[in-house]
Amino acid sequence: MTSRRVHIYLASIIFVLANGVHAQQQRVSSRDADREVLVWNQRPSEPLFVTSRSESQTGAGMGLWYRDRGFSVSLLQPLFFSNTGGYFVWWVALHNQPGLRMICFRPDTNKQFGASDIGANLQDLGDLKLIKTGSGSRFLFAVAGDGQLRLVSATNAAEKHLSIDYTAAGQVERIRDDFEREATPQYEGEQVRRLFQTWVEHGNRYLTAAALK
Amino acid sequence: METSANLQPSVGPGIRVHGRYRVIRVIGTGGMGAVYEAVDERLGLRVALKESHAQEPELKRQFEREARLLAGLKHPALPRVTDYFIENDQAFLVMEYFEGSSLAEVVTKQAPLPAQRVIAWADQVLDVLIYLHDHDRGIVHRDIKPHNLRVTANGVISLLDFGLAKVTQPAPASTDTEEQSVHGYTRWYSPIEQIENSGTNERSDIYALGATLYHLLTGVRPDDAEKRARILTATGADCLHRVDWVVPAVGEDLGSIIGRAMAVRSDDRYQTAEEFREALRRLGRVRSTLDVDDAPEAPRPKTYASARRRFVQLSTVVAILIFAIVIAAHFLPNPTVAENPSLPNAATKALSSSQNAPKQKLTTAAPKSKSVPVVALPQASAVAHHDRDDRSIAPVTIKPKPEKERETRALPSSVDRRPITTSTRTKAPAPAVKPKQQVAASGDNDSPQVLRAPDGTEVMKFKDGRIRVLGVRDHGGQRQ
Repeated sequence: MTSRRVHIYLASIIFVLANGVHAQQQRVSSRDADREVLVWNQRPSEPLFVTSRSESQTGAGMGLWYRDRGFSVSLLQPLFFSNTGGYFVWWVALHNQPGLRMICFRPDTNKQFGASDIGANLQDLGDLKLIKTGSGSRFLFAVAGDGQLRLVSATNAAEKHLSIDYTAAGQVERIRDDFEREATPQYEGEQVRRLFQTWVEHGNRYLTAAALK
Repeated sequence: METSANLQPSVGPGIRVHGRYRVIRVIGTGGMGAVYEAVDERLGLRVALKESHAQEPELKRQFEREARLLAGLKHPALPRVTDYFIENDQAFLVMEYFEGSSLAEVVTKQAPLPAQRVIAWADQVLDVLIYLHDHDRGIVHRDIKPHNLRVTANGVISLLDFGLAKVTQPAPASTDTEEQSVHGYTRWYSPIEQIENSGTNERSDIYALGATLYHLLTGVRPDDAEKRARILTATGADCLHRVDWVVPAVGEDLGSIIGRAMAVRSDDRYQTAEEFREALRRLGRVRSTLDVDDAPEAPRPKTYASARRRFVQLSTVVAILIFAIVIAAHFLPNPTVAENPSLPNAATKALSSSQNAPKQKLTTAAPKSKSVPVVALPQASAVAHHDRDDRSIAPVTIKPKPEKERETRALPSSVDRRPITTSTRTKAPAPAVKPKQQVAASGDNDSPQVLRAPDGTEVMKFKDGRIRVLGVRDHGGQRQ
């Protein structure tokens, strides 16, 4: 038996033991994750989404968030349109208030809709809808396979992009950004339960997973 | 510019509605409206404030119907309606506030639930159904599901949301008729007659309750009735797995009861809520004498014998695993993890397509610490380590491996052993199914429509509904 093979055996035993430790840690983290949601992380050498307790206070239960100036918004929520009312509906969490607030984008001019609460406007581009906030963030929506207007791209004021791919059923397939970071959700029914994330730091690629609220 | 703030002053915590209800928090939201927890400042009571955002006249009427319907009911498990009003063109329904959690929340956290507890809840729901289905009232709820059932810490159930309810027998003071009900359903809990809008009755509620119990007992939502009916017609077989097949601890008797309640044909179900309740009560009596281990969740006292037995079992499992690994190390030439099927597709692709690391090795460790060579199985690697307030990082590192070390590795038996790495990909067997990403790139599937935003973001939309974002092109046409 070569020494390399011995090393492999030892490594395998360590793997088995490490698995047990991980399983224990995972149970703890699942319990903690009940109180937390994940927020887009701007630091390129860390995962795309990291946990935050502040957004979890909203009680929205929609797990991935974008934090803007003065408000946060769930990246998984669809953009509703009221046919008879003629306005778009978006839910945001204002940082100075608990709970969620319904924002209506009502028509200003042809193809332009406004919502002064968060200083944002919405441009109707036909198949695409574009929301621009007062802080310079942009959110692009397209009709997904489930017929809902889903967020396909978010851009912050520093022109950093986040893009979201969807399956035919309208579920998020993959989220990517400019720094080769990726996040892949795992669904249970219609709920995202886990998020697998990869990112690069000093030439190494890391993988992590987190349970979502 | 007109905004929600101008037209909907009631929406948002801290705001007072109708001069007396101060909103505390949002309980739930949806495309049709929202439910808030609020305080009636005049009476000092906590109330639930249900708001309708409906603009369509039909939906507005439906909301008003719900208010009138609930106002005429009196049962401890039903919320009392105390007010109904319209403010700034938004309709509000003020109801008794029930503490507790919805069964949807409970099932998410605790499923599968013990049979005795579920039977106790079902008994209470059936009591409400008996009250609603009574000939004098003739009300079919038509939306029984875990989301619409709340349970307190003491196990007291309440039934909410009468938005889809139907009155089959007009009450003396009411002009409501069957025709005035609104068509709607929730896929996994609604019977076929409701999905097809071919006439619902009290047996529809029995189906929905059966489907709800199924979900609670197994933790999985049952197949929807439409799919079941389609397969039943085509093959003569019901595709629904019995509850006791999914969770054997449920027992055959309870499995049969749920199965009968969920029969596709309404004639095959329990005909009344009383009948359903009696069947469960009979079972409850039997189980209480035979199956005492089911409901109690108190931990059994640990004895030396049980601890020793457990140690022996664990040791055996570990020994078998190690033996399997040793065998694997002998016979497998060059296993890697680039296409480990236990990882989600995109994560797998991400792992295998690192530009900086032509060949990678997965290791688990904190990023700055020494690595231990393992494979990134989701079960093993899914660690969220909350050591800081805003961080959840417990990474599995993938470090580039020097060329000379890249020959053979031993992997546990649970890992796919196909020899596929970046450098040996050409030698690997071709995947049976072409990856979606390749299809998207080649465009040979269904010639997607490319949408371009003003900032240059390109979105590919396929005919089957899939969406791929290609990224942003700058002014020189380069993709960023």
